[in-house]
Amino acid sequence: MIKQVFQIYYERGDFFIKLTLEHLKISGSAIILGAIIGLILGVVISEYKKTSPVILGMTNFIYTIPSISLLGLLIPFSGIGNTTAIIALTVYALLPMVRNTHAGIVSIDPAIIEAAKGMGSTPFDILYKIKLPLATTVILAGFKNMVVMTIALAGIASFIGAGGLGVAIYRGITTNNMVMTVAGSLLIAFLALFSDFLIGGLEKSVERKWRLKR
Amino acid sequence: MGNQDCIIFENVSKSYGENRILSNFNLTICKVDFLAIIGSSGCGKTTVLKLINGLLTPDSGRIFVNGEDIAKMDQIQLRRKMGYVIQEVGLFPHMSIGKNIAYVPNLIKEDDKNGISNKVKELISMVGLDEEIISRYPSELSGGQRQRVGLARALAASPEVLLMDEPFGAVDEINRKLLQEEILKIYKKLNVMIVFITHDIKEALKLGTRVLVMDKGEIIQIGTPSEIKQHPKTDFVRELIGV
Ligand SMILES: Nc1ncnc2c1ncn2[C@@H]1O[C@H](COP(=O)(O)OP(=O)(O)OP(=O)(O)O)[C@@H](O)[C@H]1O
Ligand SMILES: [Mg+2]
Repeated sequence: MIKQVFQIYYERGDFFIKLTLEHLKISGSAIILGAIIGLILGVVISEYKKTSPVILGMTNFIYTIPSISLLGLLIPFSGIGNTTAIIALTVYALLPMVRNTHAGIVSIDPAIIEAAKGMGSTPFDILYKIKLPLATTVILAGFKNMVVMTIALAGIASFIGAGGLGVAIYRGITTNNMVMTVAGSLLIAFLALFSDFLIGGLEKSVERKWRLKR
Repeated sequence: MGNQDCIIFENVSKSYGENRILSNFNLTICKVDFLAIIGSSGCGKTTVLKLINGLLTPDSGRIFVNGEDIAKMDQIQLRRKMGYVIQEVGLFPHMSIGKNIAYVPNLIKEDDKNGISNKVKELISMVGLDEEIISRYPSELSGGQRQRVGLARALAASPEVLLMDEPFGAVDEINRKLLQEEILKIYKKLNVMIVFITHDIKEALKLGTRVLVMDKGEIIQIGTPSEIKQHPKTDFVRELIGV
């Protein structure tokens, strides 16, 4: 089996490279959008506490919608293809980002915030110089989960006509070609593990630089 | 007495919800007072201090700094002119000691990099620490060293007023004595107004040029240390100084 998988990588190299790049494009777009929107929402709910039940509740709710049905629900609005996939993946990416940004900020020792405020920091100074740096490791942990999840989830986007490695899996299933399915799945797993490793390294170096061991 | 160089509480009241802490509180502190505030836990000492730098606002009454009502001042500017040392110290764990001390100078960008770095060195030696400590992080310091860094950080903006909330609460007896000597030296050298909160009557009498005894949000007695010692006004004060 392993041998056959490598053989198919070799024989159909162009096909798999194209799918991998597409996969990275779809999941990468969703990761960037999800990270930015999630971070902003996370900051908003930590600064304006009243908004937190609403926004956390909403992102939590979205997270519980099965991915297949979310994809299906989006088709009337954004059609089939990559756009719908990116929207759905972005929406899922929000929860881990929002939750960890919020948790990272609210868990900061109030004495630190008080000292910063008492010394004449503006709310923006406090956010930018104190809160975000101190929440970085928690935010990165959420980011790491989100990236792994998005890369894996992007595999089912081909069911609504999007590209990516899901195409190989889907084709393998429909043509009863087990090797093809395994080859696609392995690449997705590899991408996810590799990102996990990279972000893990980033986490460690930030921890070391800012002495943020928890 | 002129209004310049003074902090004046005028009929200030402050409650937390139903719980009234200060009612019609009046107090004048002028340059160059070293006012030591002493009182039992929960009597409102921290509340008084936070009203001065606008971390709390009075429900009624007014507070003047240099003749100006602080309610009408830019709170950020007000705070930058006052050094503030809190009991928990509150050093920024992700910044080196040097960055911690330079926090306010960096905020107001009053100086170039070189000027700030010289100032940090000067402050470090003023609070009795070694320059080697500048590149370390707060988690790598002892409790006493942290208190000193907190003090240096509060002094970095060359404040006219230094607000200190039980700054030596968490250090051992030996370090406490050393820090007391340090703060007296700094007081004489910099000619600042200091408002200093403490639980310890000996500390209050040793450091303060004036001592304020507080109980349940009321001023029981205010006077020089010798006045307090020789003419304690009530049983509460007598008990406190142990006669
Ligand atoms: N944010 C708050 N909300 C409600 N009650 C508060 C708040 N801050 C302080 N209090 C209450 O107000 C009273 C005075 O508090 P304050 O912090 O001024 O006391 P303190 O004299 O500094 O005490 P300590 O010596 O223990 O620090 C206390 O009874 C305290 O429980
Ligand atoms: Mg207090």
